[in-house]
Amino acid sequence: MANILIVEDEMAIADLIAMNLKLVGHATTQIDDGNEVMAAIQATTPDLIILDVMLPNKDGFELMKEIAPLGVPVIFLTAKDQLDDKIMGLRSGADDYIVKPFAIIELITRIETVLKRYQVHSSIFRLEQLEVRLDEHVVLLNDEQVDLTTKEFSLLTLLIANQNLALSREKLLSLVWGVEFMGETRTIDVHIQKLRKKLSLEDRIKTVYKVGYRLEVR
Amino acid sequence: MKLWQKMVLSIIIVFVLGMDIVAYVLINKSYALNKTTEYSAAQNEQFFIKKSLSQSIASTAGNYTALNLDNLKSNIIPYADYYRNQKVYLELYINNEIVYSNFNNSMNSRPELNIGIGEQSRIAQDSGESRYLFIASYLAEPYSKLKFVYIKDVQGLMDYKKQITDYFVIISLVAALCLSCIIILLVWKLTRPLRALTKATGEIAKGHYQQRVQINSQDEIGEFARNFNIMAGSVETHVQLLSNATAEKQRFIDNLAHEMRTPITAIMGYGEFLKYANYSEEERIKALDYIISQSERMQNMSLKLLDLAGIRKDQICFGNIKLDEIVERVEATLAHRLTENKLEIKKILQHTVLWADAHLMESLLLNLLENAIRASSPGGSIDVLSYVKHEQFVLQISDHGQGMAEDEIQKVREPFYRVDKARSSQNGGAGLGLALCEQICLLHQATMNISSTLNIGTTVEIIFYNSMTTL
Repeated sequence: MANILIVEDEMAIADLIAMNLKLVGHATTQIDDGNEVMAAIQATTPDLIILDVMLPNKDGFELMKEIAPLGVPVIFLTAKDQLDDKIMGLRSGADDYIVKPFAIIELITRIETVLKRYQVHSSIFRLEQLEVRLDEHVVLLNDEQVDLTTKEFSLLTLLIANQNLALSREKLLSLVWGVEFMGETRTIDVHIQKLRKKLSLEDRIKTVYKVGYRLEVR
Repeated sequence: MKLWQKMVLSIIIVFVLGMDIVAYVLINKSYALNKTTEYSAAQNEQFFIKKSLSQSIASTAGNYTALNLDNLKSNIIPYADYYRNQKVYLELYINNEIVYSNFNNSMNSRPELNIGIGEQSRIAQDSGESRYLFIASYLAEPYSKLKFVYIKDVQGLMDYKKQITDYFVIISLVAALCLSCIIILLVWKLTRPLRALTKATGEIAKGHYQQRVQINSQDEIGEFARNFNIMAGSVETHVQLLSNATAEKQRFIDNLAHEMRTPITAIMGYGEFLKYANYSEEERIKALDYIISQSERMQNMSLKLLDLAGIRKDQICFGNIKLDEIVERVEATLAHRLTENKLEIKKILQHTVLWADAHLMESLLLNLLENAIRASSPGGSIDVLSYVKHEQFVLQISDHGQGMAEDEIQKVREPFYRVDKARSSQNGGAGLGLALCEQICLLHQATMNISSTLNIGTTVEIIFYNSMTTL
C-alpha cells in the first residue's frame, strides 16, 4: 500500500515495526544510522518516515529540519515521553509522536491516519474476486455490486486496514460503533457473519480463538 | 537592643560617669586649695590690720591717757573705709560691746565672738546671698580688752566653684555628645564585620551556599570570618557533592527507565504479534528469538544492576588473591565467546598476588574482557598484563579492535552508554559494565585509565594504590 522508511537503531524494534507493516501490506526500508537517512530518502522516496529521536551520529530532531522541506510525512517514535520532547517533535513539523512502548494496533492506526491525510492511502483493495473501493464506499464481488450497510462497510474497512492482524471484539466495537456503545460483543459476531456471507469471505475472515477476527490475505 | 547600641550606651555611661567623678574630685580639691590660700591670706591680713590698729591706738593712747569709744572709732575708720572696697569689713569690740562695725548684714548668731583672751576664731558663715569669713581675736597687751573682728566676703570662692561646676556640666555635655558621635561611628565600623557575617549566614541559611564574607581584618572577627568562610566552603562542597550524587542517581534512574523501554517495547510488540498476526513460520521464530534475546538483555541489565547495588563496603571480603587463577576462571567463563570470535587472550602476568576481593576482581576482569571481545574483530588477540610500577600494582587489558573516538572515551563511564548500540545490545550488553568496574576500582582505591585510538585498539589500565602485599 505505502512505502515506509523506518529509521531506528534498535534492530529489535525496527524489525518489529517492519514485520507488522508488512502484514498490513506496506513496503518497508530500514535504516539505523542518522547519517544515512537523507540518502535513503533519495533512494526510496518513501510515503512516510518513522523516525527515532535518539540515533547514532544525528538525532531525529536534527534530521527533521532536513526532512521537513521535502514534505514527506514523519512520525516520531521515541522512548522520550517528556511533554517538552513531544512538543518539540510536533513543532518541528512531525505529523505524529509515538512513545515506546506502543501497541501495534496503535502504530498502524496512526500510520493509517497520517497516510489518509496525505492521500497516499490506496483507495482500492482487491482480494481474489473481491474489489473494495474504499473512497467510493463501493464493494464489487465478481464485478457485481454488493450492498453493505454503513456498519458493515466500516467493519470491512477496519479489517482491511489491519489485514493479517486479529482485532478483538471490543476493539472492533469501539472503533465501529464508538467507544460509548455498551452493546453486546455478539453484535460483532452477527455483522462478521453477514460480511462473510455477502462477500464470500468465509475462508478469509478467520475467527481467532480467544482474540477476535482477522482478515487473512496471505 | 543591638550589640552596637549596647556598646555605645555602655561606653558613654562609663565615660560620663568617670569624667564626672574626676571633675567632682578636681573641683573640690581646687576649691579646698583656693579656700586654704584665701583663708590664710585673710588671716594674715587680719593680723596686719590688727597690728596696725594696735600701733595706731598706741600712738593715740600716748596722747590720751584713757581710751574711749570715739578715739577708738577714729582709729579704725580709716582702715574700715580702705578695706571696704576689698569687701572686707571690720568690727571692734570693747568688753564685748560693739565699738565699731561697718558690716551691715544681720546674722543669726556670731559664734566667732565667743573667744577667750589670746584665742582666735575663724568661722565662715552664710548671710543673705553671700558667704563671709569671720576672723576674730583680741588685740595684744595692753589693749587686750579690745576684740577685733575681720569679716571678709568670700562669696567669690563659692561663685568660682559654681562657675567651674556649671562650665564643667556644659563641657561634659558637649564632650558626651561628641563622644557619642565618635563612638557610634567607631562601634558601627567595628561591628560592620559582624553585620556582614549576619548577612552572609542569612544568605547561606536561604540556600545560597556560594556566599562568602569579605572581611580582611586581622582581629578576632577577621579570624572568625575566615573560619566561617572555610566552613561555608566545606558546606558548599558537601551540599554540591550531595546534590551531584542525587542528580547522578536521578540520571541513572532516568537512563534505566529509558533503557528498559526498548526491550519492553520489543517483548510486548512481539508478544502482540504472536497473538494477533497471521504470521509465517519464519516470522514466528524471529519473534520468539527477539522475545528471548530482549528478555536476556533485561535479565543481564537486572543482574548488573544488582551487582552495582550489591557492592557496598561492608560486603567486601579483602584477602590475598591470585590474579592468574582469576584470569583463568574468567577465561573459562568466556571460552565460548572467545572461540566463537576466534579470539585469543595473551597473558603476561609478572605479579600475581594482590590484596583485593576475589569476586569483585573476577567481575572487573569479566566486564573488561567482555568489552574487549565486543570491540575486537575475529582472529585478533587481547592482552592481559600485570606488573609493578612505582611500587604500585598495575593491571592492563588491551584489545586491538575498533577503538573509540576522543569524545566517546569521555562518555563510556556513564551508566548505559554504549559505544556500538546496535551491536552490543544484540550481544546482551547493558552499558553498565564500566560503571560497575569504576565502582569496583573505587572500593579498591584504584584508578581506571582508558586510552583508545580509533581502529587501533583500547587499553584499560587499572592502578591499585593500596593493594600491594608483602607476599
